[in-house]
Amino acid sequence: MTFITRRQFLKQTALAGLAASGLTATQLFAANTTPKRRVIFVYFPDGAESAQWHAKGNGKQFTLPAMTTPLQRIKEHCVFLNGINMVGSGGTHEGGIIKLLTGRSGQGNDLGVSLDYYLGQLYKNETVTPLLNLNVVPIYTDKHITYDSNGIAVVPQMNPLAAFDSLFGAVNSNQAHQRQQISILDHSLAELKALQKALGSYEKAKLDTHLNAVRQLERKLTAQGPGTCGAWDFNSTGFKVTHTELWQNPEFMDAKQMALIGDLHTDIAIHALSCELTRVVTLKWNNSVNENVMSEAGSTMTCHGASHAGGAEWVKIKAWYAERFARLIEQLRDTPDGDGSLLDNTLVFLGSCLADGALHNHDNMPFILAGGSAGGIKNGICLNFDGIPHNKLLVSIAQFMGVNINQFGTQDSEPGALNQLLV
Amino acid sequence: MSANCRIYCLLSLWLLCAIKPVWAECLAEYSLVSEWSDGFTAKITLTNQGNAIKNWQVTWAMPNNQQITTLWQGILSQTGNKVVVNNESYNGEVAKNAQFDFGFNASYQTTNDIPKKIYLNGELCKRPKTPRPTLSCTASYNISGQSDTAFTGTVTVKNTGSDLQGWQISWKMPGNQTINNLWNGVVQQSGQQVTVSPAAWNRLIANNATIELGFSADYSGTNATPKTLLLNGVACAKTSSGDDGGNPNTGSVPKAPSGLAATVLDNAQVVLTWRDNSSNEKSFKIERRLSAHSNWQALSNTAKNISRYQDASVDMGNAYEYRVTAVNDNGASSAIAASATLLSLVEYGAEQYKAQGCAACHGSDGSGGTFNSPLTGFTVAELKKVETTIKKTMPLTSPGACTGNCATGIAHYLVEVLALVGNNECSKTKPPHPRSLRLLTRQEYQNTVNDLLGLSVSLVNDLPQENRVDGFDNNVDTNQINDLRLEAFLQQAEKLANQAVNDNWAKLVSCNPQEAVCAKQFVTSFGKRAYRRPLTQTEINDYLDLFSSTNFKPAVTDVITRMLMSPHFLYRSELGQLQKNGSYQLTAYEIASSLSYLFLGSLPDAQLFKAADNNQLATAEQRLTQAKRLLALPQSKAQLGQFVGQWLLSTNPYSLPNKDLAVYPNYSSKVKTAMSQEMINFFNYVAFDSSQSFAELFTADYVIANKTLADYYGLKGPIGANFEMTPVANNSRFGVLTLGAVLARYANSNESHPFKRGGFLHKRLLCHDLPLPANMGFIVAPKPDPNATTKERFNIHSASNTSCYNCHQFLDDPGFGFEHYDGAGQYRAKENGRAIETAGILRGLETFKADEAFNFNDLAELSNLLSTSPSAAQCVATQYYRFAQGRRENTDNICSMKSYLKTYSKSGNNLQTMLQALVTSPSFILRR
Repeated sequence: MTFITRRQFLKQTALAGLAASGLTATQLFAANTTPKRRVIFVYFPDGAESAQWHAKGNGKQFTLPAMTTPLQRIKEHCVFLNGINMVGSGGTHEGGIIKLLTGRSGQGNDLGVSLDYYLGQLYKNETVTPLLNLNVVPIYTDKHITYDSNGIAVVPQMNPLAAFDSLFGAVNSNQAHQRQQISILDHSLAELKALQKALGSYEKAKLDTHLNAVRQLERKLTAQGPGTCGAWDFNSTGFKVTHTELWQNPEFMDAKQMALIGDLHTDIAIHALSCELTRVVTLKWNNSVNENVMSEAGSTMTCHGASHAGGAEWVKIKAWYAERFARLIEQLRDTPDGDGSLLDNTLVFLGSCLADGALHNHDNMPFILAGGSAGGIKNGICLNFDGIPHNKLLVSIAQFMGVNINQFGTQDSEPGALNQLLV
Repeated sequence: MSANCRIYCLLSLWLLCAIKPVWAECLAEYSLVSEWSDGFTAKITLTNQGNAIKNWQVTWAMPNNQQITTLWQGILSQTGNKVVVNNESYNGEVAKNAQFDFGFNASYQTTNDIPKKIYLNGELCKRPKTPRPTLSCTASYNISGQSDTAFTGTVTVKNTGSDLQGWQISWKMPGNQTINNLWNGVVQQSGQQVTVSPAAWNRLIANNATIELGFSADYSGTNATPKTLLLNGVACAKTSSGDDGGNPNTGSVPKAPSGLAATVLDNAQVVLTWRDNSSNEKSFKIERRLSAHSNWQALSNTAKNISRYQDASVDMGNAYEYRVTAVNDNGASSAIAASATLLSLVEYGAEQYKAQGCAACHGSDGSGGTFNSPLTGFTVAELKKVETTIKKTMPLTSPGACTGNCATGIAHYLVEVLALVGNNECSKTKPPHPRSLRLLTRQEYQNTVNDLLGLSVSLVNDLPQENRVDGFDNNVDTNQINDLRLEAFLQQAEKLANQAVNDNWAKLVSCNPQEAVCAKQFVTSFGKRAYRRPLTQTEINDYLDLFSSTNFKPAVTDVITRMLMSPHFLYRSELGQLQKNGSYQLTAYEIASSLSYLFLGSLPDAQLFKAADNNQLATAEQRLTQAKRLLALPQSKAQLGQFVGQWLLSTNPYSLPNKDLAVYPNYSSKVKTAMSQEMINFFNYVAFDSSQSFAELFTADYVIANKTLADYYGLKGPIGANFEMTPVANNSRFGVLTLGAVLARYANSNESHPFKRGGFLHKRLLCHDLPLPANMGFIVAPKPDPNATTKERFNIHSASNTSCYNCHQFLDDPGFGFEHYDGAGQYRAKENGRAIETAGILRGLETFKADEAFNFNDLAELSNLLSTSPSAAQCVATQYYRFAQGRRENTDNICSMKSYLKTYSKSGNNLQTMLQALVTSPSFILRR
């Protein structure tokens, strides 16, 4: 039996010059493969203002207030969630970022893996990058939402050009260079193994993480031609990073270019998902306590400042974020995948660190889901709950991804999924 | 299992299989290469006589507690006596009938036996048939001194046959001669038969090597020489001896002395006393050697009738053997021997601490004892003072009884041992810090590659950010090499190696690539700086292999790339080596790196490498000397800036927030950069150029500013880009609390933020851990109001609302104290046309308890309170401790930290002491 993987196929067609024929990669093999499930975790900072964010109504009958008005045009793809809480002792911004994807209180020893990292590890052998972890223009870089299996924060990629190079850059198509890199990594691997042998239990976790990273990178380099998504017009505006000194703010941390940088990250994410270079994406906008001045949203205030002041500035800023979300959904909708669209096979979760930015609370979180209809997710509805823990939502996302778990995190006393999400 | 056996098993003849001895198709030869008193080097050579193998694993059980210390050309693991050696990546494949070998160093106790069974891939190997050794030798027997009843002699045997592992020299005494002492061997005498077997260190005797035995013996009758000497049972040919003229068998040599005693005086001199038994000696010959060394060294020939000799040329920490013979023109008597051991200075101090009764008053650990007079806070700088005090005043009952090395030793013991201990708990705990691999921070990586490769690249923003903990970027536990970091490191390694080879060839490779030794020279010297320690032979060979398949230049590029990706480069090692007491001590090279990264944030410089080469970093004084030298280098200022920025801002020193320029139009990027530089320059100025005292950080009546910043602050003085000490006449700036960087960092983009500033004061300046606000959800921040002051808007936490007030009573008043400074750090006399109220109550300054309250009228008074506060003074050192260790204090290291803090507070909160005192503590070099 001859079996040809998607990527081998892609590579061969690319070599044969078919990529230039005008057919997109997905069209070429759309007919004979079953699309895999994929997930995107989108993070917006500093919560919202409940009355201005949450959909009003129930089922198919609902209206969207000012902050979520931009979602009007894609609402048939969304699930608007009301009445879901993040339970547990961790309070305010700092507690919220830990709770969001771990479903743990984040206090004391109750730290652990976040869902994005967890899912990435489960599917790491089927992809090139287990988790594409992207961050758009943060300002404080110690406020993470992704945690590894030991509960240690995983720093995301902030530079879209580096993220592009990693997945689609020149090295991915230069086999001689890849072999050279593998040889370098082999050398390092041998030293690491010897070191770990000599150290026994000392520094084991650290060296395990390092060893896994080496193996993962080797897997990526040995995989048949990573980056054969076919060329596309990435970074057409010529965004550059020239500030490399510690005392300089690098361009990818420039609050005045948030939209452009976010678009670059999104573009990479969609191509990586479409070509199955990854099945899990985290797209984190800024960071909790976002003190970037939101000039692109037409505000002179920072996101965090506006979250406390409330009013028109806050609405303006949150609507700007909602617009970014709407565009993401539209791009997914317009990318073919299997017999349908990438959105059909991808569940998108939108979350934040707080419920109401001014109240600093975690009740009635501004969560929205989108897409995933191929996995039975009911779209175009508003669901109302009575203060249930968001662990159930995390379980549902994991189940959508084909993971048969009934519990994620520690804060749900009656573990289970949100079955109302399914058709 | 062999193929045959496997078939038996398949036929279910498992019983047959199980009882049939399984001989692999392999040969294993275990040979000792060299051997010393408690260790040896061995080599195992295996011949694969079966089918080709892809990987090998060699196992055996070590006899007699032998412990392998290092192994090359294989990967070792030893558990108890069980040894498993796996192939390296490069030597796993072995063809049929091919040989492979690996070697190792090991320690042993009692006898150094050879393992009986060696297994290859689980199966027992045969021993190769060794050719029967040829045995032949030459030998001589000389009497070197003789009295009426005793004599000394030497036996010299030269092995002219094949190499021997183990030997036995024997002879028959022709008359009534009894050996009473023999050196360089172990003697057994039974009647006339004398048998000598090897000492611990001289079992191997190679072809053409010689063994010299010396002995003293009693005799009666004629002292005739034996006819034949035998080596391993084979008679040796006689060597003609022409040096000592044969046997002075005349009876006129002096009688040997007796009763030699060697006494150590104050750990500084050795006094020898003996009984003079002869009447015809001309002198006594005094000889000395280091214990277990074979060469005697002549110290003196005394006059006759002398029975005492004082040896002042001894060094502490050594064990000596002495021997004394009586000599006259006819020859020498037999020798008598004695030994003496000098302790190290600190060991002697510890002994004297007990011997002089110090513990009775001060406690056995120096914590204070019944007199409550602790001795645990002394620093290296106080050594002389402590020593003088002991000499003149101690012990109280008899001052003057402890001088010289007694006083010096105790002083060192107090500073180098008890200062660490601090209190009872410390002396019982293991070293405070665990063995660690510390990932280079981005800044350290940049500094290191620039110093290593001779480049001046800036790349911090090309690397993923650190996992910041407690504000510091160098946390040992959370900074790990994950996918993102690894890929960035690989990209940098390739880029940097190419750049270095292209731009900096002459500096990297100083030899001529045409010469055969050049590759090795480059790998060895560059590798030592990259790994921050000399490479092992295996590592060198691995890198040299790269030169065999490509040209010199690409091979150099490849070596550099690989070294930059090595864990030995990316982590700085604080692993240490196992000590007898179960703790680990950092190697000299690890100490060099620890010093260098602490003070310079980069790899060790040439002087540190030299000190490490010469093992000159083990003592507190040596490390202190280096610390002072490093702190005097200009790079140390930038490194200290890293600490100051992260201490005060909880982020990198240049990471100041953006502001709403409609509200703060003057807050330009130039001003931001100047604020960061002011913060760094100010701390360095106080710590190096001014009083060096903590208090000045809160009482300075000046700022360190350039023109940009002075204009921004509304001060006059500086005229250019350079930072200058600029007096502040109006008391609007007075140190840390009024640094623009601090004020702008702890504010919103469009307004000041009293709670952030109050939180800063407690968390960063007093080390009080504030809990995060609870998840309450009913307090809304006050809306902007053009007719009210910030305090009027934010003064919302009343005592009646306990859930908020419990914490906010600590934050709010001090936060309001800052209100004369707006959200961008500029001074304002009024806000929105209204007077600013700054008076308030500072709660919990020393205790973090609400009932401890100090009133203050304004920020200057608050700053004064901090300048005299022990808690505030201790906090900056606590933060420095966290920065230096890369982790927060915990139950394991709290003792060590308290002892460090004590040292610093005893110095009057001297900031130089704060910077230097960590390196003089034993905890700097010990790990658990």
